[in-house]
Amino acid sequence: MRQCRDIEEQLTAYLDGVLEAGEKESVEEHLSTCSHCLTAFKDLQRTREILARLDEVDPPSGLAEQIMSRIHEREERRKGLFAKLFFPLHIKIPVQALATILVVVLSVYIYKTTLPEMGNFERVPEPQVTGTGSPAAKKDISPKIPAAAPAPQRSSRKAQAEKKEPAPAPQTAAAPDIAPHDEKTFVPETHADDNNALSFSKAAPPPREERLKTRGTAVREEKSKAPEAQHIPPLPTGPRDVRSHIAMTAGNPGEAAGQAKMIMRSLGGTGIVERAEGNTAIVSGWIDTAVLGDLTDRLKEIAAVDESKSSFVSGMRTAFIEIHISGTDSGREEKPADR
Amino acid sequence: METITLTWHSIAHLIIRHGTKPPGGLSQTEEGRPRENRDEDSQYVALCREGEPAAFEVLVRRHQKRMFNIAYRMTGNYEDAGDVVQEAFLSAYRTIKQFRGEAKFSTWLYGIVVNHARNRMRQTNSRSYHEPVRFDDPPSREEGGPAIDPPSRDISAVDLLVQKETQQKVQSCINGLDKEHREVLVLRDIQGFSYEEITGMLGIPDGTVKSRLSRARNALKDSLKKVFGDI
Repeated sequence: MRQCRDIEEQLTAYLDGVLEAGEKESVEEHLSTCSHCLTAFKDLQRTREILARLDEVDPPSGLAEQIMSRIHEREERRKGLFAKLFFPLHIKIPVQALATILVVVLSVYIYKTTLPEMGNFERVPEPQVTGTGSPAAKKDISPKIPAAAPAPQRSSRKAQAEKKEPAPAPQTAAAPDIAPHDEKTFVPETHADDNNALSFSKAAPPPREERLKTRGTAVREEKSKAPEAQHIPPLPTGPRDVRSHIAMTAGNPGEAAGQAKMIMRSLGGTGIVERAEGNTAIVSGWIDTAVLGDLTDRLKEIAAVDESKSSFVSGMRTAFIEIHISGTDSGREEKPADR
Repeated sequence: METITLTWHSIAHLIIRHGTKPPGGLSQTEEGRPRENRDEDSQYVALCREGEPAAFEVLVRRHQKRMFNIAYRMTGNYEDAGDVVQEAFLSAYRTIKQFRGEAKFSTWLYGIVVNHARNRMRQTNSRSYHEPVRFDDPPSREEGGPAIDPPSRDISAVDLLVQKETQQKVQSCINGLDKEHREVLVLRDIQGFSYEEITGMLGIPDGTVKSRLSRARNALKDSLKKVFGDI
């Protein structure tokens, strides 16, 4: 009986032909002698045959279409709006790549636009004013120094006034020089046409190329920050004159002034203005400090330069220079020193 | 662009060519089950992995009938089988990138449908959806339950299989088996998969498949004898 139970457990494997050779012989030998196990085996055979002969069932019509419809719906949801925008062009750019490029471009743009202004702030504290002139020359300059101190307030008011109402026609270098000899009003006006009046009142203006870079955003920002400019730590040596001076004497100051203007223009000067004070012609404008030496040399060719009354501001890349051309008492033209 | 057009043409051609091809039943599959599908499946599987839903349609049309029969024999319900097949195909589409090609794609696919059918059986059992047929149950003639004819010695159950009613009785006997026994019986004796394939689909050892199959056959044999008297 125990043997019959063991054989019955092996009948399925025997039916499927997966028994080892020895086991198979053992089962066959038992089946040839045991009718009970043989009947059980035949019943299993018929059971398997019944299952094998069950008809296949046809799936409901449209099953494949339903499946594909659901898959297409899922694909549509997955693609989303962004993919739909690009699908007609067959451009498959990952959103992450586009976002990365956008962030990089924005970062570079912001860096480029803010860097020059940061540079301006870094250059402001330059307390040293080294003049080449004698103490007497400094005395000449000192009365003009207070003009720079109230300049931020005045110039900011001026800038606001310019915003509110149309500014008077900006004086260009080519315009006739009829400006009054008033430092306080003259200084901002000369730079109003450069959109850089405030930078003059605060400190030295940035070089021309940097001013071009920051044109627009930088100037607007400085205008809006004009009151804040007063919070900049005061210079230890008091208000600072940012002007350079060259004193000259000539027989005909007006003619010499015209030549001086041409020299300044040829050396890259900007905002060049000429005015007269009695027998003295004054030519002023912005010029690169690197060419101050050249300017002096070339001015010496047209008239005598009194170096003792001249002074130069160093430490800045661009300087505001005033050339004072006095007429000789005798009325005769002095020959240039080097002629 | 020309390559894409050609691909679409070849997919459309294969949909028409293979779409209505009947899957192999046991009579065809025990030894002579067609094996040539393996390469063709892998070709379309590769296209699916590249995001071509049209290639998946070829696989759906090729395997839907066999998938449905597995699901139907396991759940014993026509509507449930349709739902199970849909869910199984959607699941296969979602996870087709995880198919590493170590086994046949069809084996992987049928494993998914078996899983979904098993889940459906679990849900329906919890709702007492199916009334299992027990050996000691009194003969029932209510609609939906197994109708047991008086035993007859003149005509065997095998011969009676031509009748639709008889087939339904056999299905009722299958429904009465435990789900673990039911799935190995369906896969082996109805669908004709090898022990190795069943092992791969169910993720159980070969010995477990054999022992479950032995118990399943004996249980079904007893149930059939109870219903038909003589098989």
